[in-house]
Amino acid sequence: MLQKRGNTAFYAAKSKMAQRKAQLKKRRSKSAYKKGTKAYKYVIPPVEQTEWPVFGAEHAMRETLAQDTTNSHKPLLSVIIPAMNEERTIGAVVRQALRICRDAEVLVIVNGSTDGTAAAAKRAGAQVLRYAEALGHDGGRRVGAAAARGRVLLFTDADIPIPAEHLAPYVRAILDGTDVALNDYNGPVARIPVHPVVEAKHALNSMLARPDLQGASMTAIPHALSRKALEVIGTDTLGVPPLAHAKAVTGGLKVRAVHHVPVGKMNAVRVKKRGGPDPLSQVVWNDHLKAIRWITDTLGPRGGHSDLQRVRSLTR
Amino acid sequence: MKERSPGVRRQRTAGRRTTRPGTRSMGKKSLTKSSLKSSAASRLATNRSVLHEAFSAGQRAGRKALENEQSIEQHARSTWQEHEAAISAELRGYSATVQAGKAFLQGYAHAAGRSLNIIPLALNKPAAAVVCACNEELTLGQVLVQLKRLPLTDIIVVLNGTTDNSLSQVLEQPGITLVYEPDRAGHDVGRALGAKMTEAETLLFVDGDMVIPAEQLAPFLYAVDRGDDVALNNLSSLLPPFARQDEVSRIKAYLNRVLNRSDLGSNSLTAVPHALSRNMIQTVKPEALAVPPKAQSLAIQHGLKVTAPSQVDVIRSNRLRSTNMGSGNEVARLIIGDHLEAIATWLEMGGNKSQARSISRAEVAYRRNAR
Repeated sequence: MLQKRGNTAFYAAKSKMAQRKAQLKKRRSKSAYKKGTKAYKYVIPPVEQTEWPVFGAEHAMRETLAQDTTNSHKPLLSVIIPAMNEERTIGAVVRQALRICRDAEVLVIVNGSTDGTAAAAKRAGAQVLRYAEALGHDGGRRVGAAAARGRVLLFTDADIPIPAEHLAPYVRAILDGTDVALNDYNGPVARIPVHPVVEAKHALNSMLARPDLQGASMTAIPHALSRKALEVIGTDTLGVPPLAHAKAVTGGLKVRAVHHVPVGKMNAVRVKKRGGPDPLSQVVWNDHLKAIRWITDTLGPRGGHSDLQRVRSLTR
Repeated sequence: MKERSPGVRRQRTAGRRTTRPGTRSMGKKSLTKSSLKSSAASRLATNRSVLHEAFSAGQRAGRKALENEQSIEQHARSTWQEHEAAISAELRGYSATVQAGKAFLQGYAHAAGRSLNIIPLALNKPAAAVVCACNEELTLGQVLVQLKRLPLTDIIVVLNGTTDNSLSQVLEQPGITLVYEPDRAGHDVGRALGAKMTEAETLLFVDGDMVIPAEQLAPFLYAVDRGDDVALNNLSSLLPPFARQDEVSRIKAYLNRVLNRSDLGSNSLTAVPHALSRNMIQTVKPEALAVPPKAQSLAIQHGLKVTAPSQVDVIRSNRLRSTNMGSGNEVARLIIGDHLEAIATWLEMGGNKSQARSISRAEVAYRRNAR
């Protein structure tokens, strides 16, 4: 399970002895654990979202509350989860997403699934959008963003159950004025030779004159967007995350890497399970090239970088 | 100097003793002698006869040196050139050639009775060097002295925006082509200017602010002379692992990967020294040299032979200025802009066709998640 220490999530590396002790303790205090109310320590408090009617007779209030249940109410948060054949994990993911904030809608975009993903998501309390064909992760996010109504859009994946405490910081950052809140995750930088996608992410941030972002990118989940960010980037562009990233940075949005969740460690098992090179990495790598093409097309061939004292006319 | 801890040293010598028992019986003298020579020691044994031959040929030539009219360096070079042409079939690679050249020169010096301060390098085509300098009065003279030791037909010094004594430093040396540009034009523009000034087949590019021994420059000339088009400085082993690299090194590696030459690592035309062939300069046009990464990508795209034959440590000895320190500095921004430009031209010329036929997202999703 993930532990939270400071602003970073760690895996607890417990010794066998410590594990056994913890298990015993858990067993002893099981009933209390069940009974206890949920501790919303890191999640968004409910004060934030509901604006009570200023001039409120009880009747009027009841009316607004009734309105809340209908579709006209815009929730504070939309959690967007693309899922394809993910019935084993989707339940946990949705439950964590629902814990972040009371005024939230959780959209699960079930695409190309042949198992009980949709049913499991519905059971856990999510709204389900169904697509017969596979959309891919990014396609699912694009569709979800188009359907979302929340002030804050949080994107996560169906295969990694990230605790709500580690999702809330992204939402928090958006509420505090950031437009694009990214996972402060650089990828496996220590591997030798380095992975091409990691290299591309770093290169793209350098080209966008944001080397401080290092390897943080909209390719990685979780990340959150504000409504303004969605407008600037455009819903369709979300289908190509590096391009969306480039548009966000050049569009003058506040892009920040806010919280670290080691997603690489969490889905490492799956990568190992499948043999051979991951076909996704080639697609992501090409996406970065698309983003660079967009930069050079819109900002000129030098992407807005200076030529210093170079007098090019001399060489002609 | 950093001192090595005695414990480590003992360990290392002990390890060497155990791995090579044969050297022990030969005594201490032979051990030091063999360690002095290059790593090609094993190959050298087979070439011993060649070296002897080179030595005696040098002696023969050296005896004639006294009665010769022309300068003794010139004579030594031309005679070595002749001899090298005769035995070139037996010499494989740069190190073997250099060993033979050294043997020849030793013989020559032995017979002529005086030592020669030149590099025994036999080039088949005319070669020139381009030195780009701004305010480098302290080092420029030394740089030129080192270049004079190489068999170059021409040395071109491009001075731009000089405000100190650099000009007189150049004028002191005979036989140098000077390009004087009163205003600052940038290092890369200077190199492009210099490249236009000569017709030589091989061009070596160095900077005026860094004295590099001629021995370390020779491999670049040799590589281009024997058929490479671009010989880059091989800095791969000097760089830290990716996590600790600066953004410029990362982006250089990224460009090489985009060009499908990830084997080149972070080696780039941005770094000196490097050597280019005339063929390469004509293919990419001298203007392109003003943006080195662009020239590199054009060269690779035109199918020219780009290699990184040798290493010169320019990282440690590079002069630190306020503009080139730290991340996000002006020079870094310039270089990143250059790389963007390089990728932009590459994309314009349809460079990503080979990668464009990758599979679609939906297909990837089916491959990863279908059951």
